Amino acid sequence: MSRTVLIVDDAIFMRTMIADILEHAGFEIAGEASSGVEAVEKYKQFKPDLVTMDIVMPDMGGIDAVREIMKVDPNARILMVSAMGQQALVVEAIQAGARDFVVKPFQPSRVVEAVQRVLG
Amino acid sequence: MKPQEKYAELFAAEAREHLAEIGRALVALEEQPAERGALDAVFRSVHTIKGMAAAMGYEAVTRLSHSIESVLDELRAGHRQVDRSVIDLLLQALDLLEQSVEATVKGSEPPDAAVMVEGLVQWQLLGEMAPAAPAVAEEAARVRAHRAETFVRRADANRVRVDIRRLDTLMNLIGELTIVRSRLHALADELGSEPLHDSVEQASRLIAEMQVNVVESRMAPVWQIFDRFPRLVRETARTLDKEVELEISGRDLELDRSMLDAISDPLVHLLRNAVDHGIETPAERKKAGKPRAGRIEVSARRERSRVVIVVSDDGRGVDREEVTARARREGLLDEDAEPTSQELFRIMARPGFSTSPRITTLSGRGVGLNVVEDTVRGLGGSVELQSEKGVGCTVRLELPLTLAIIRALIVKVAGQIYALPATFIRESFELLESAVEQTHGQEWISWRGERVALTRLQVLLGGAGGNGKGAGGPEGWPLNLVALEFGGTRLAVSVDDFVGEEEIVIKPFDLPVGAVPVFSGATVRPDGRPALVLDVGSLC
Repeated sequence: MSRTVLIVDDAIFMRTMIADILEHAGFEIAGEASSGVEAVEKYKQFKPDLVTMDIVMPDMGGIDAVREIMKVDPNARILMVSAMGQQALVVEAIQAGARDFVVKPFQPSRVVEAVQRVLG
Repeated sequence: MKPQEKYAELFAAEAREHLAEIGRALVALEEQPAERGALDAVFRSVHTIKGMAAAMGYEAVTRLSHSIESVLDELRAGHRQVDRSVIDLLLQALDLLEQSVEATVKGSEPPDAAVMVEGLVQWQLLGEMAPAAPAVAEEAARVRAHRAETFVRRADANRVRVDIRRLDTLMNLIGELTIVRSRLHALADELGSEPLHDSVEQASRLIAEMQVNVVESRMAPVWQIFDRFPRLVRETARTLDKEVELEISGRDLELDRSMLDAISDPLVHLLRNAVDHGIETPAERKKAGKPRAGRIEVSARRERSRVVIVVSDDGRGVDREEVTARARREGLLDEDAEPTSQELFRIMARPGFSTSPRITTLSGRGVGLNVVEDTVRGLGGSVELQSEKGVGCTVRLELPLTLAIIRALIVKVAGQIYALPATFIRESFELLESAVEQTHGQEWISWRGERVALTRLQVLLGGAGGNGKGAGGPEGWPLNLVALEFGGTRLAVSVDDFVGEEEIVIKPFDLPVGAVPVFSGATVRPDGRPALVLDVGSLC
């Protein structure tokens, strides 16, 4: 059975791109969320194997969303998707429980690698 | 569509939304510098554009948005305070970013941003390091943060973007279906088959429901264009050394997407005019006993099946007497006639009318007004202007909710079938020929206690045939009349027969050379024959 992924990003553009990359690599997209609040809700709803998480979003940013999801499921596997110049935030996210990160712009192969790494 | 093209389209659409959001939030930020919500909104949108551009490999856009983001970082960290100069800088950067996005999307060379990037870096390096906002401002910011939530544009994950052309096609197909449905109806009646009739009824209901759904899916909120206005007004006002407060209401009202696109430019014209020619300078306003800052209101609301958009200002208004006098001199108006608000607008909208040095307070009012009127009329709507000298000016646009399918009264004139859009019809009724009065070569009737001009469509449309009813027959003959109203003007037209009320699909068409320009489109009848749709605006 293919692994399921929840994609969190406030830009439809980014969600589409990540979904395409992961679907192509054989993952199943469990759902998409456009804000931290929605991400937590959808996490509870879909219990995905993995979450890709944007950092800057309206209605609860990515780092707070990581914290909230970790409260719900301490074993949650979350991959941060950050932009250039957000090193400090990425560190904060990892401290909050995220497993790894990729930096935009990304190569599809890098995303797939990171996802596989996180899923172990 | 190749993935790259799909992404490029998504990028363009989403980046444009964010650019509009940035412009709006920047102006809000200037008005309320402590407004954390607005600053955060600007930051998020710039950041999102940067991320998307980076993913697309659009380097120029990425670099510029990165520099803008750095400036915003300083402001968010409280190292520097929001002031007019930084807002100016950011607005200029936004313009460049917009150009850069548009150029990149088209595949052309983006403008050189080196100077701007340098300017943004300079700002960060050179400005004085002001302390963070004092406690008072912070308190105020906390209170306002609540309201700031409204700035946050929610991108809903349950939505998809659809090319408007697909919806156009869908709409056209439903239009065709409606025509087939009418034919089936006629056929079922003819055959007298009960089961067939029932099935057609059922199909009708489904088609109607489908139509409602497609119409609704084409709707877009007016904020998509309204959100550009604060910036437009601000900049026009600054160039002219005027002070203007803009109030926008009804920004969540939804309108057909293509209508929204079409009215964007006319509204920009109206706003520019209001700032440029309506609102006085602070000194003039003071002299007139008005508040220093002028006030412009833009509102959108629904009134029955119409959408009403009003642009009003509290500026110097229109000198009605002067316009009337001038219109009389130019022969645009009869000596004794008082123009209605609608006529006043049309007179002023005439290209070249306002360029006379005599009407200095109005100069330029005419620029673009004809564009406004043509566009709105073309959409099946109307424009009305109300103004009082010294008090202000209100322009009211009335638009139909949707373009493609309308209810219409089908009439017969001189053996031909025509459609009259139902939105403009007040009443259809019979009247005896003897009740028609005549003065100055114009025929009049009395309708609901009002004297209303009568136009005989039989004469206008040039058919000599018909059954004679309405064509000016003997005194005792009954006339079939329709009372119309368009933008405040009332008119009665005579027809030979009423065929019935139908939903028609309007197909735009080019008028043959020399034809009477009173048609707004054509439609196909259930029997497959075409009928012309009368343009009520040009009749009234």
